[in-house]
Amino acid sequence: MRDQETTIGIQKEKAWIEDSKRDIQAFESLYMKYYPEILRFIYRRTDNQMLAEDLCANTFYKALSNIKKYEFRGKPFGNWLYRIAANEVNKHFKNKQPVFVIDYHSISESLGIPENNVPNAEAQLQLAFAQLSDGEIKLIELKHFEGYTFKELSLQLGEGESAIKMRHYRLLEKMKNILNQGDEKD
Amino acid sequence: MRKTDFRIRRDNTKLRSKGDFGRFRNQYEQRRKRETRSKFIILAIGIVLLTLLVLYYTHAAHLPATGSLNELKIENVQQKL
Repeated sequence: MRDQETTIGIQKEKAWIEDSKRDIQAFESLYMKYYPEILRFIYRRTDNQMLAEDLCANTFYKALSNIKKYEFRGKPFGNWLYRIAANEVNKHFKNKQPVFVIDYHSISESLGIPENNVPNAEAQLQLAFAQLSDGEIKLIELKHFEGYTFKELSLQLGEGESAIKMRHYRLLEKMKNILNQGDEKD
Repeated sequence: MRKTDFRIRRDNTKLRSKGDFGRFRNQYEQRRKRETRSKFIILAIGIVLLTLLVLYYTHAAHLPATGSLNELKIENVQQKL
């Protein structure tokens, strides 16, 4: 059901993009659809709500300013917004230490972390994330923090659905192994 | 490349902002106007500077290689006399 909505959603987006090229007001639908998601994406990389709102405003400003150059290629519009947002964050953290906020509740259950093992689990989770690549973090972020379906992930990341499922499964196993190694050391 | 600082948060309910398109649109239009104005000012300054440069070189081409403008004028008067 949600997969069917995704396909319809992309077709709707195509129409919104074409309309936005002629009329700023038509950008409202895209703005309202993606604002919360992009704001959370930036917030996770800044840990500062005010800064996240500023960078998010810049992201949408740049998107709207350049929408005439945007070519629809069957991918969600969010894909482009994520790229602009990531550039905005990188520009801000040029000479500073990058930050990533882990939403504990969204990932702990999938990794089988018990609620009572809190202080140790947090440190281990940080350690596990530190060993992931940018692509792996993005997959965890979209799947667990943003609640994307595999179909949505496939469109967003430009890979086959089964490949994504496999990659996600292996990634969770990898993280579980890192957590288990931490437990054994303790 | 600096190492990322991974921070754990348990209050993911913190961000509930849905976005205000009206406000965004106003800010967008103001910023657009401001940027267009500054582009126009830079272009105008550029055109003025280029004109001055062209005038300077075309005028300098008529001048003798040495001597001031006053000397040139005196020379002209003397020739007329």
